[in-house]
Amino acid sequence: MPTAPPPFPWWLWLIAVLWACSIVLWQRGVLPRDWQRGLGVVIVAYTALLVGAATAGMTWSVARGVFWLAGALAVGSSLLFVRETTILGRRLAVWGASCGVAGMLVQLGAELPAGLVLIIGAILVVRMRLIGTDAPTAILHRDAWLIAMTAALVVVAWIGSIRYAITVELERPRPSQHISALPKRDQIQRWLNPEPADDNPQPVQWEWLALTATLVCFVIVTRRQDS
Amino acid sequence: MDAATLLDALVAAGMLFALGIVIAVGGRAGDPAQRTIGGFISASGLTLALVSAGNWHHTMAGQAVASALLVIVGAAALVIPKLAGPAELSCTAEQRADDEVRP
Repeated sequence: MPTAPPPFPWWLWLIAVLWACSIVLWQRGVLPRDWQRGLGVVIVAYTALLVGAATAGMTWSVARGVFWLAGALAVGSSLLFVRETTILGRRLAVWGASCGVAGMLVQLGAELPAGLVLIIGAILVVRMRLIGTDAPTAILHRDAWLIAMTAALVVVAWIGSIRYAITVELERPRPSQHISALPKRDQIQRWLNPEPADDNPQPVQWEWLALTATLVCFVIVTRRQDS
Repeated sequence: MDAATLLDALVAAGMLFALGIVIAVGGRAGDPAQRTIGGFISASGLTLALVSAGNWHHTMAGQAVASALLVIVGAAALVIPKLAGPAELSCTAEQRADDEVRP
């Protein structure tokens, strides 16, 4: 069991508070339209800086650089769908996302799933005109603003929780040769047969609580828009 | 797989999974194609997470299982929007005009 206290992601709460305040301002419609957009841009940039700070201090290698180049291609292509795109733009975005994901999988050594991703991506690109419409479509402006905020917060919460999980894994007394995030058999047995509470109970994983609260807020706000 | 690679893979998988869900849910304002693409991107992120977290890339059997899951989820992403029919809340010209007028 880990002896050191878990890293407390104070930046997660800062972003959550900023995000909640922005939602309230946006829902009230107090600010002019351009100010609302500006506020969104500021928070997106601020969130990106914090994400960068969360991954600082890690060593870089050529393999890692190639992996994240492919990752940037996949994530960047996916982000194109938040904006208004045409059929051609969506085709390019799907193909870019497929190539990016396949590149990451190949970098990890999983060639078979990578090939399948490329095949499914190619099928989607070819059939795009059959399952889509010719008119350019996109998420509404205010929806796009909300969705970008939610996606950024999910990413930050994900990084915080994964860092915490890996810290716990690394502090195990006998770490296995291949680190795995999946639970082992003895861990599952401990879940099924919990021991009596001791003096040092496990701290609550605040990242998951924040993530759940964020998603609930997102659903509520989205439903209020629909009604 | 060392800890840094695992961290990278899981973070990238989480980003893709979240983006795919957002695109699929936000597809209410678009068309079935957007939901299909969102499902495909989510499935890709899920596959990346499974391959990296489970160390499935070490064996051919693990890769086959990940590929089978990808095919199942990808097929579901292709079929479900067709079953649901056209987008219920498609972004019509009236809604766009209303969105432009409303502050």
